[in-house]
Amino acid sequence: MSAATASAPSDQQPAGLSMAQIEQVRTQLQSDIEMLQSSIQRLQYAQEGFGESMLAVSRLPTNNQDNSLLVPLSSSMYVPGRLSDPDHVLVDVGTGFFIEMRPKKAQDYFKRKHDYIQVEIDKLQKVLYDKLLTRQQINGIIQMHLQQQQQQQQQQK
Amino acid sequence: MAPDLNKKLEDEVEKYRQTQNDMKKFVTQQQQLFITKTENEFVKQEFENLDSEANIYKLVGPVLVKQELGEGKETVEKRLVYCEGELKRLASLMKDTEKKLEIHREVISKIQQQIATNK
Repeated sequence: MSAATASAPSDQQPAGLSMAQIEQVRTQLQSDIEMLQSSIQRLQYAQEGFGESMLAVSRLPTNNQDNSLLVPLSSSMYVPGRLSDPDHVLVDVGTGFFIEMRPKKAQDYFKRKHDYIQVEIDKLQKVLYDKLLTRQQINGIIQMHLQQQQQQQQQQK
Repeated sequence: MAPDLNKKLEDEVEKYRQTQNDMKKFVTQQQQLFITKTENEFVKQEFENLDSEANIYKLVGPVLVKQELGEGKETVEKRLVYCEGELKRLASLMKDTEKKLEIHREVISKIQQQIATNK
């Protein structure tokens, strides 16, 4: 079996491949599909994080509002406090860097990340869809083969 | 004659397995580097969009330290250059390892043929 037949569904010659080869292709497809699904899940999880950050920033009080809050000192003790500077937030942008931003800019940042992940998810979903289709086709071919085999066995009786 | 050939085959297969393991390690390293590189590229992009007045902070252990935007940009740039260098090195290492694997495969198949014809 060549690697080319596993990754180019349009090139497959069903009649030319032996059952063993088709089985191998199906196994490969199955593991590709699982990997894609788990990647998409991880991306969605990360995307959720950005969505929540966006929400959290939008809930920040402005200077005119009451900005008292409770600060956790341990897992069971909180102390009352006040948000000293609701006009600036520190955003973790990766690799240990934080950028001080206004809440509006921070929301834009989170929205950008959220949308970027969506684009990547869409790309993966397309590939996943193609693979699912191919798997369906291969299952059909395997079914056909099995039926043919059964018929042959019956005729030999 | 046959036992020698069988031993040779075993040795070659063992070498092949070791080379395969090396390859797997390289692939993992490569993936790790891709992740680091992409992360740094994101940060670089964010820094580009800031004007020089913006404040940035770097997390050093448990401490957030205020940094100059220029310094931050430099640090990220240095990391990116390092990643790219490592990726290039890995790529050529992986190419060589692939060639080694191919040679092992050929040797193994030759020995197998010899064993078959000697029977």
